[in-house]
Amino acid sequence: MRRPEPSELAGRLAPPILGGLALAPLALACGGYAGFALVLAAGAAVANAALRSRATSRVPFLLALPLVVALVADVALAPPGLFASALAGLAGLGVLVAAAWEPARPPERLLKGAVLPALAVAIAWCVAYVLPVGQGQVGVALVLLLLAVAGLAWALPRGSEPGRAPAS
Amino acid sequence: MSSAIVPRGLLWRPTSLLLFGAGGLLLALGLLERSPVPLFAALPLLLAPVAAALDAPPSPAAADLSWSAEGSGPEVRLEGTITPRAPLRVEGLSVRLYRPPLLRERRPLSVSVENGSLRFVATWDAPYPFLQPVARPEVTWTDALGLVEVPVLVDAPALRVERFPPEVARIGRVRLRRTTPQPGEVRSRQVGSAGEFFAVRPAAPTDTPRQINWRATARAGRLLSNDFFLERTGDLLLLLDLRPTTLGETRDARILSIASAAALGIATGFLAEKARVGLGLFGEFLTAVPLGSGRIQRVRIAQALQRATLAETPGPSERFAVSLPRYFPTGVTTVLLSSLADDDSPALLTHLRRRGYPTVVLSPSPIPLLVRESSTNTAEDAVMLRLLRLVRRQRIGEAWREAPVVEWEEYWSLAPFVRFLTRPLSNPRGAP
Repeated sequence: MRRPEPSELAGRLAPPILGGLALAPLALACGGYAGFALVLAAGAAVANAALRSRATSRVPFLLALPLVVALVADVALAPPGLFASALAGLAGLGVLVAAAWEPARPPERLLKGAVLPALAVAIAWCVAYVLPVGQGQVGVALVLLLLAVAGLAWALPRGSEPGRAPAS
Repeated sequence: MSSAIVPRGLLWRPTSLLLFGAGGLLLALGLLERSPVPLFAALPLLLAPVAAALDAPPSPAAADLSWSAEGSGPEVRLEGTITPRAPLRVEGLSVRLYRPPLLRERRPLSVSVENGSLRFVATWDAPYPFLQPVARPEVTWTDALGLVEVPVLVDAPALRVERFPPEVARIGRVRLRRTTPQPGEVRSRQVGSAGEFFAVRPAAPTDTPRQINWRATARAGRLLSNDFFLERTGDLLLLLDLRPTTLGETRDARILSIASAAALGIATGFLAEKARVGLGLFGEFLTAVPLGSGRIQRVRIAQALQRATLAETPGPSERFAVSLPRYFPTGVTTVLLSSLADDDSPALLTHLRRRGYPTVVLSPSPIPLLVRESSTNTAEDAVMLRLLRLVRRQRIGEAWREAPVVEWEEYWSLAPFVRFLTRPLSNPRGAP
């Protein structure tokens, strides 16, 4: 059997480590269930690493299934609160990146794709907890404004690149 | 979701369905528990696929492809450039190339971005000569997280890759039999640098000193060259035996691939010398490409060889020989490509000889294929190989009673065949 290259090994281990690191703080915030939640997170990371260590997989999208299951379980065990919500958002982001991780995809491209969900989580958290009570509509308006700007940027026709004829 | 937002042709990848499922579950959990924590976890999982779909290029996404097959001998290198048409961008484009099954990967597909285009290089190894089309690559646009993809329409034809032994380049110099009754009347209309004198013309910079008519030049005071009618060297009939043998389907298919490549190579060599070449494929019935010359005939032969597949039911040898005169005149120089793997293979040669076709057999030996398949190299294997060679030698000896046979073991060289055609002195049965 072929021994994997160090870079290939790093590519396979990065998603479970990332997923485990994203789930661990949320597990610690689970109060009385912290131990169980931590075991769940660690088990999911190990299962994900084991699945990824196999050379081929017929259903690659299922590689992230342990992390997703652990996320749902940890979130169900977490008590409502300011920090738990932030940690749940971060855990969701971490699991998203771990699920989308592919060795052929450059990490910077992956991070670029995660920017918008991260912004949405940050804005939602600010709206829910940072803004004074009764000023929530300001945050909602801000989110709607951002969405409108993003929609406009997407919908407006893009200019042709210099040196290239416009599309007919 | 409206079709204005999500362009047609957009495909959700399984990962996004998993994220949607998990996000929906968390959303339901948050509503049931009346807790914001699951909602915060659900937000990125639900938002990311939607954002990816919004970022997708509008349909129809299209790109231009220019590609070619490079390399020589066993090396097959495919190089291509994919240029996306606006508004499609090169970021996010991925290319997938389908490798023909008999080729092996030498280096993984290399993809790079150069000047707004996607450049790819695939390097494969051909274990033996072959003739196969390579389907155009599948190009898809994928978002940054790989959650949605859009198939990109690529406007380019499939690529035909041919590899045959290099000796065929000079095989056309062999003199073939003419099958027309008056050889003097079969002049080609082509005018060239050798053959029978045709006319004098002003010299071109590419003319050699031998082509210059020096006497006419001295009289006219300017350089003049001779033009000649190009002579056709004769007629050649290539026959492929597509009947299944005891070697089994896989090995028969490999032998067919080798024989097809050789047939195209031989045809190319002779067609380049203005000879007429015909092709007969015999499985259950005969499929014929009548004698013809020129580049179009090469295309006809290449297409017929590309379509050639092993027959499920073998036709009788006599039918083959009886069918031939309908398409080809008797007496034409005939090359039969057959593995001679069965005991009754020589029967075909008997029928061909009786019908008046002077035949030379080019027989790709199945032994190198069997040796490659065997991973071990034990004493028993060596004994088995010797036995196989003895059986093969005996079978070829039997075939020699009917027609000369050229054993072809080294697939990347046709030197024994070219040598035989150029010096067919000891042939008792009327080969060229």
